[in-house]
Amino acid sequence: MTTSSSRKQKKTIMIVDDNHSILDIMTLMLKGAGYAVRVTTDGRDVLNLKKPLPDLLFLDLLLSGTNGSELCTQLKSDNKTKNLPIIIFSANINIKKIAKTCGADGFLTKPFEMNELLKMARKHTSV
Amino acid sequence: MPVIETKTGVRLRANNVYVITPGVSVEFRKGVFFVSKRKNEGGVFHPVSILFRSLAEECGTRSIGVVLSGTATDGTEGLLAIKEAGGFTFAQDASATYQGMPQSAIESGAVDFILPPREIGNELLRIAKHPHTVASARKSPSVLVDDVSKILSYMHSRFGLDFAGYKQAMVRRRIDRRMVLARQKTLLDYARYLRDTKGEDQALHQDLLINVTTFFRDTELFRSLARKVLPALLRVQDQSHTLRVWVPACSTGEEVYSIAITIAEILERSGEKKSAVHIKIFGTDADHEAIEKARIGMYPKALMHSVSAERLARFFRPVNGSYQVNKSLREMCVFSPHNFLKDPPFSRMDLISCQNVLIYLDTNFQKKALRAFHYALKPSGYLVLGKSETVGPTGDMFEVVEKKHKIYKRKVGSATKILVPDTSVHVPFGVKKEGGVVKEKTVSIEGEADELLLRDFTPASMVVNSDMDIVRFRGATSPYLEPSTGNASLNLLKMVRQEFTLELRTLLHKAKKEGQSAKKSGIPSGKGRASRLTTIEVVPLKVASQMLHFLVLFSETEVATGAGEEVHSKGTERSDPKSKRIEALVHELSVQKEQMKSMNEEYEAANEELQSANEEVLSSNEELQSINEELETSQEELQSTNEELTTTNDELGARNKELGEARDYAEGIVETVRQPLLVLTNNLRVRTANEAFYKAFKVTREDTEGHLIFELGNNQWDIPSLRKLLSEIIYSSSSIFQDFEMRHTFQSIGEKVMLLNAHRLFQKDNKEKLILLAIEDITERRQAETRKIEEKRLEEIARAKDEFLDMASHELRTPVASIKGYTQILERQFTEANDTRAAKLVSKLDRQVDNLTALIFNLFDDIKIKEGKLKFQKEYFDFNMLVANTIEEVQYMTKQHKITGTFAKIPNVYGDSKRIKQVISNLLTNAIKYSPGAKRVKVVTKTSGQSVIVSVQDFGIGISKKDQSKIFTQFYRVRTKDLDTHPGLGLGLYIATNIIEGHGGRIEVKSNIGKGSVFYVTFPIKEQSKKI
Repeated sequence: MTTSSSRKQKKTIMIVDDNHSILDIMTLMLKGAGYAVRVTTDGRDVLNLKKPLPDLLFLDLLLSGTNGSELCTQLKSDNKTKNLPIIIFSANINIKKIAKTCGADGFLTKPFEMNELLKMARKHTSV
Repeated sequence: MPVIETKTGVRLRANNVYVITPGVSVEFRKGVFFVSKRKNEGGVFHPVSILFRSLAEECGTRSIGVVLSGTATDGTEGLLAIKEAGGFTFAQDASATYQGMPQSAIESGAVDFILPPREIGNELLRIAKHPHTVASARKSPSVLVDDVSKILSYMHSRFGLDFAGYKQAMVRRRIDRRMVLARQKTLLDYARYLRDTKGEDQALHQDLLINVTTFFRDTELFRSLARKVLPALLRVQDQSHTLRVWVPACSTGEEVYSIAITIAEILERSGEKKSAVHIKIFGTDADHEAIEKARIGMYPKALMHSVSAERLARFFRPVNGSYQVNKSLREMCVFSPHNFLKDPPFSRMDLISCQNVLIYLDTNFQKKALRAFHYALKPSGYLVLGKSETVGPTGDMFEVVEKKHKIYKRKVGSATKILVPDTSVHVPFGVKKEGGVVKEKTVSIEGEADELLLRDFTPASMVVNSDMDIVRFRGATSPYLEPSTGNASLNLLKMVRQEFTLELRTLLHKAKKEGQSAKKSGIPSGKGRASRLTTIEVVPLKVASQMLHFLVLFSETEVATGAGEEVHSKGTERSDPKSKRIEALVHELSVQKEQMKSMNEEYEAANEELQSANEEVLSSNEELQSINEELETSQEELQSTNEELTTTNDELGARNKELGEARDYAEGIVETVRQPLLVLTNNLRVRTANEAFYKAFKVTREDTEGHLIFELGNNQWDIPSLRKLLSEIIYSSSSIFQDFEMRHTFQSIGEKVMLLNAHRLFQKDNKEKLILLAIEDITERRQAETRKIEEKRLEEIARAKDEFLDMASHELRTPVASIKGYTQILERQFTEANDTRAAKLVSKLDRQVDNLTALIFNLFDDIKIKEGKLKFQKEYFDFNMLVANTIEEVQYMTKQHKITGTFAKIPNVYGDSKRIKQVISNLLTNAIKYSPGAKRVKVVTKTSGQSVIVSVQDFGIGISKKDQSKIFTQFYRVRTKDLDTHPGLGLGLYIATNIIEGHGGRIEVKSNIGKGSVFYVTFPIKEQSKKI
């Protein structure tokens, strides 16, 4: 990771989770690594994303009111958002399969290591 | 053998079979067949009999007739002809499909052998080989007459019976037959054989006597007797009198009993008591043995076919498979040995029945027999002969009553030449003969006086019958009679003096025609001697008997004795007497002329009548012919109907069989079916139950059939709901109920759930309503259903539990994830702030969080293993990469150990990569955990055949042999004194083992205490065909 490039233009990462502490932790970790972070607890927010779009989307599988995999499928089928990288994360052990089915770009198992999270963010935000 | 159709001119050759074309007559003459159009005999067409008869005539003793299966009676007459000719006759036994023809032949007594077809063949061969049948037929019989008479005289001496009077041809044939049967070649041989062989004389005797008779042999004859003759005879008898019947040559008595039965039936029908009219039937025969049999009156069943079942029941009683004539009937009959040709005949008989006896006798003996019968009969008595017999040469003794059945009536007073002294008493003509001799003795004085007056003072008279034969003379008839030359005759017109002939004929004619007396007086007579004038009166006599008789009276009205003589001596010269004479002659002439004229006229009239009668006869004849033709067609129709009936009968038989089979089939099903079935009567009693019922409800047949259903098995069926249902079925219109479920506790078999189905059965025949009750024991089914529901419920619970587990695992992980996140952030911040102590502590905290996470994971895995729900998501992955990643991750946790990996070239491996990673991670963690003093851990991957192997080697404390087998079990943890036990549940290796086994592989360990351990994980590289 080059500090100069991160200083030049901050990549924006959006996190969707209905659990506030997870949102808090991830925000802390990602901000600490130099990312701009947007959060929401309502999954439906991602369907009306305003420009500029985030560079990466972390989507919890189990959301109150809706379902991460469904949201992912919708986003991936929408021309506007189909190029937006999406990482599905969950405590569900079948997360890998689910991620594949809904067209997500990666997955993360809860609880996750900070290194893992940062590695994933780095991978999907680099040009 | 070739089969040849008979045609005219076809010559008969050995070893050929000839068949008759249907509808033609075939006769056999001089070795050649003659085919002609069908010949009807009495309206019946009997081709077999026609052929047989021609055969008998042509071949005589060499002819053999065989009657096999067939309907109607064809062949019987033919066989009789063959037997008559001395041939051999066969009939098929009961094995024949159609018994008509053989049975008819057997009944006629024409059959020598009654055998099944195979044995007929054998017998034919035997007879064919006998020299007698082969050669003797051509020998001149005269040479052998002496031998025959030798045999006959032997028989005469032996049995006192002279067969010389029998028809010689017949006797010869019988002897020939015996010779064939006894296998003797010449008459002399046979004579010797006859003398030496015990029983042969008896056999010949029997054969010669021809004991052929059956009950009601000629049914038509008996019907005729019952209708006409016997009622008349019974009427004549007054109460105290005896009806006497004689059956000469009665053989074994069948004919006698037949007559007795007929009489008994008539008496019964007319309502007269048996005691009122006394019946005596005399049965006689020369054969003592036959008479013995007749007396006993016992006949084998086989001979009873001609006796109707009704008669059999009425007049016979069964004794050991035979039938004996009832005592009452036997009391009517008297049997005695008697030879009617030799012994004095019986007398005062009302009826003589002598059927088929005369045919065996030569003409002389026939005459003798008939005279004896004439003598034996009462004046009004009847004689019955066999079908082919006639009164023949003694036609003057009997008149025909019924020609067809040979019933004759004795002619009154015509017995002229009885060879045996006539002991009967002549009674005055027309007076019924009663009491005979006894009455004669008690004649009164008055009667004697009458007799005297009649003898002396009545004019000479004669009684003549309608044939003009004189029956009786009275008074001095000699002046009027003069026997004529030539054959002796009693004919009045031949006996009377010539001068009366013309007048008498005229008078008789007139009397006959007018039915009243005719008189003619002044007939001159006394040729040459005395001239007398005679008066003749003819009076027709009408007496009870139908025959017309005439009383012819002669009287002399004017006796011109003196004058007559004068006239005779010198009358020719005297004019007065001469003219008187001329006058008389002229007068006579004119009278004669007149007579001639009237007779001529009468003759003409008679001629005309005859002519018209002739025409009538002709037309009647035509009518008869057409009737005959009609009868013939009817006969044919009947025959075809008969065949149809036979076919129908066969069909019915087959149907019946089918029905029986169907019934067996149905019963078989009912008995075999495992469902208990009950058939109930309308009053709810058990008619039948099947095996399954007895078995299922543990009851016996005896306790079930005929009992009320509610009483069965100690009233255990007394179930209110069942009562209600059954009564509904009986009293309402509903004919079924279905699937009625009933729960009931039975004494013998405990609580049962039963499904009842009832169905009403209608039986058309007896109008009985039956209820079929099918019982199904559904106890087990119900239990199974309950079990199923329970299982379903459990399944739901299990699913809920799974959901709960998933949820719980998720819910537990989220806070753990948060803690871990915060810890890691803290560690970083402390590190950035250079607070090394705090960073170290937080790092420890982070490891504990990892442990906690692992524990949570293991706990859920353990639950899933237990439930058998450990699932894998298998795919192909880079195994070396996975191992490398895992090493990298675990390396984070330790600073003391250096984990080294050695990788062989391995293709992509099929498996659940996360789970495999879990296993390797577990092994690495253990390796670090149990090697506190060591500095490295070695990981090696390689392939072996179709499997991949990864080994994890530590250099730690090692595992004892004892512990090696236990470490893979649940909750087992290695404990050592000097090692502070790592927190853990002892689930790690257990879960790892389960995961690897789930991949079709295994985990093994090699270990030495103090030196360390090596764990080998082996599992197949490629996807396994679904075995595990």
